[in-house]
Amino acid sequence: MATELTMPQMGYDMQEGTVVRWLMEEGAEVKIGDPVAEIETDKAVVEFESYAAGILHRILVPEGSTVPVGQTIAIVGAADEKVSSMPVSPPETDTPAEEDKEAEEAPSAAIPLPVSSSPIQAPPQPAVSSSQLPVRASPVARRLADEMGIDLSLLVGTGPGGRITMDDVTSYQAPAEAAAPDIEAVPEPEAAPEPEPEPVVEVEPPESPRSVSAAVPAPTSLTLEELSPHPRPSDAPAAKPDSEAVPLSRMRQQIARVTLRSKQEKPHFYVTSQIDMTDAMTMRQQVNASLEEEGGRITVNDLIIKACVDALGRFPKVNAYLQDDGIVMNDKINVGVAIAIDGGLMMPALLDCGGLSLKDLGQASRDLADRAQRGTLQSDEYTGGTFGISNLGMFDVTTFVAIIQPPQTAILAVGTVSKNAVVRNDEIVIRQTMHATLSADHRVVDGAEGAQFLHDIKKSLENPLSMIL
Amino acid sequence: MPEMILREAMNKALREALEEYKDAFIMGEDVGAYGGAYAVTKGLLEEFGPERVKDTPISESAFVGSGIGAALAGLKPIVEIMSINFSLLAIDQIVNHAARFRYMSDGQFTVPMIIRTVTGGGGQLGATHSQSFESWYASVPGLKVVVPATPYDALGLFRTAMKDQNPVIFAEHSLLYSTKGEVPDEWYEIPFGRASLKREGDDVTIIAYSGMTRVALEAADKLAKLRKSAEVLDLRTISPWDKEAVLRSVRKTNRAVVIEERWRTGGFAGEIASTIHEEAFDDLDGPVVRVAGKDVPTPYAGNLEDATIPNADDVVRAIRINFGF
Repeated sequence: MATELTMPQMGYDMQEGTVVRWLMEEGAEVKIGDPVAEIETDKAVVEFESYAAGILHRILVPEGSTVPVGQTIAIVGAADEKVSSMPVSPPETDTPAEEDKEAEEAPSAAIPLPVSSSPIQAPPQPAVSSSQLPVRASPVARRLADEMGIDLSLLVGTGPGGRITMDDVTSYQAPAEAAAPDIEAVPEPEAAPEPEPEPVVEVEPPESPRSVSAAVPAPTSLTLEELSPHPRPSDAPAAKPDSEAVPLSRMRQQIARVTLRSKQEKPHFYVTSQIDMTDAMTMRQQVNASLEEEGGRITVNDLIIKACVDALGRFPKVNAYLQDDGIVMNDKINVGVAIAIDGGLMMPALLDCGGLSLKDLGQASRDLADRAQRGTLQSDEYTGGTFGISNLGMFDVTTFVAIIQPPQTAILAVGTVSKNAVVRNDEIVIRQTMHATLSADHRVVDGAEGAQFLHDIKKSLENPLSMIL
Repeated sequence: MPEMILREAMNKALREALEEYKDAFIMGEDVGAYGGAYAVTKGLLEEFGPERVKDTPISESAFVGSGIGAALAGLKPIVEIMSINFSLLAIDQIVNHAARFRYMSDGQFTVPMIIRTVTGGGGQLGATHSQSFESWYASVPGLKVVVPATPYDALGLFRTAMKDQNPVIFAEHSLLYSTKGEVPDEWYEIPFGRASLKREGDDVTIIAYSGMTRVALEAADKLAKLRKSAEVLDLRTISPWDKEAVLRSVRKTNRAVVIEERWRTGGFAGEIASTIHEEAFDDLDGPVVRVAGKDVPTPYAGNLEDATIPNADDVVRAIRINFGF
């Protein structure tokens, strides 16, 4: 029996994914575990491996399409299997060879009006003439389009399998050219010379906010207003005619969703401490000198990660997460490290770093950062973090507070290491110090525990040998 | 308002039936001395005596047939079949006799009999004791089929069943007997064929009955987290069923899901879905989706049995796949 390959759920909060590239063609032989496509999730491009063996009979979703988790994207079956009766197949499976050729050239032709990231106003692709293919539209969409006089072939469906839905019709705005004749058709009032009708004709209809949002990939994009559960349109500033809304990138959407959710769900509290880093910096120099030959290196951030990992071992609740029915202790320590990248940030995690030595940790974090930049992280690494660290030291930041990454319970925000006057043994001396602020979810830990946890980190960093022994 | 569980509501319904209707009597397996396999008839033998609360041998065909005879002769029998699974032994009596007399005698005879029975799975009772045949009876003209989900509905619907001149299959779900709910002291009745609007919503209509009403409400909660509002309808009776309420709701939300606990093939969900397609096609923004039990004999193992019965996650998944939520 044929198996439908569906859009996988590849991480926390993933609701839809984009097929970036098909790695196989229809008709290819597939084994279980073979990568068949590259799927872009909210933050990464990940290879999608087949969970069925046989022949890749049909690719149902063209490259660049975004579909919800669970939707069928391809069909794998036995060699002699007929897939024309598959429920999700387009109606024209037995098309003449000529059309098949066209379908190969333009993958989108395999499905009438696929979910695509092209703007709604985009003219139909030459290969897909609307007269050739039946328009897939829901019954109510057809009825509304008929009532509103909208040509369905101009719409791109955002529903499953590219179906034009009711929302696609009601949110459709005719292109400006189409609107112009209507304005001209208004008969000029003969007896009223006062108001000049001419400017009305010449004024181009201003780009309305609606059509701006329609230019965003319709199936997936959310405006900020939609992301907020309590949209308050009245508070929003009126769109200025010369201002332009920049569509949210997928990463911005994801960051908006996650941070908003964190701040709504998690009662954050904050604990700050000043940490004397002088000894840690000295030790780091010595360690790096000895590692120089083998090319290894540890950074200040590695020291902070190590101190956090050790503290998390002693304070498992900070490494836990809250569920409906209680606090779940993670059995592994996966420290997520915030990394700024073009257009946003990500927080990949060092998986299972509980037992790693400082040297191994340094190597692992360097490797993680490299692969983050190259976009070759595994999906576990994107989503598996159990605690977070955000370091803005390189930007000469003294202190800041970070937003906890759900479902984690805490995040440490560290500032820059700088020389400061410090009182030690009743004398003012120059020491290298750093501020660290813990944000924690008050539903899981309390202030005193947060303070003890932070103190544990401070103790490790101020007695750095304890992290090596 | 006083709270009670569904078992207590049914016990109250039976007690007041025996008090109100002098011609009414209860009969079935273990309804008397034992108090009922699900303890619904507890205390009634002591209160009303063996003439009105009769224990029968294990003989479904015989005692259902006796009930039909008593009904034809002017009494109001309330027959209990311990489980809807055993009703198959009496199906000839139910379909070919109880449901036919009124028609074939041109209304000279009626069979105002209530058959109370227990339906549903989920209790690890194995493949022969976990079935839900109420949809079979709903396909038979001449029968009425009542499938309450709350104590309030159970009592109100039973009062209506007592007044009905036709045979009524009153199917109580075994896992709902401990469901709590408010039941007023004041008299009320619930007419057949009137769905209960459990929740109002705009994005999708979820239609359910009996044990699946709870699943529908859970699914609605989960959908709320996705910021989609679901309207939930509990049909309460599936013969007759409230077509108007279903169509009204679907015309508002443009999307519909029907949940049925047991087999998908030939199930009642298919009947509802087809009707929506026929009568509200131009209002639909996607196919009417069935979420129903797997087409297998019910496994005994708890985890496997759970896998055959729809749950809220199944409903949400089906909605997301079919409507792109």
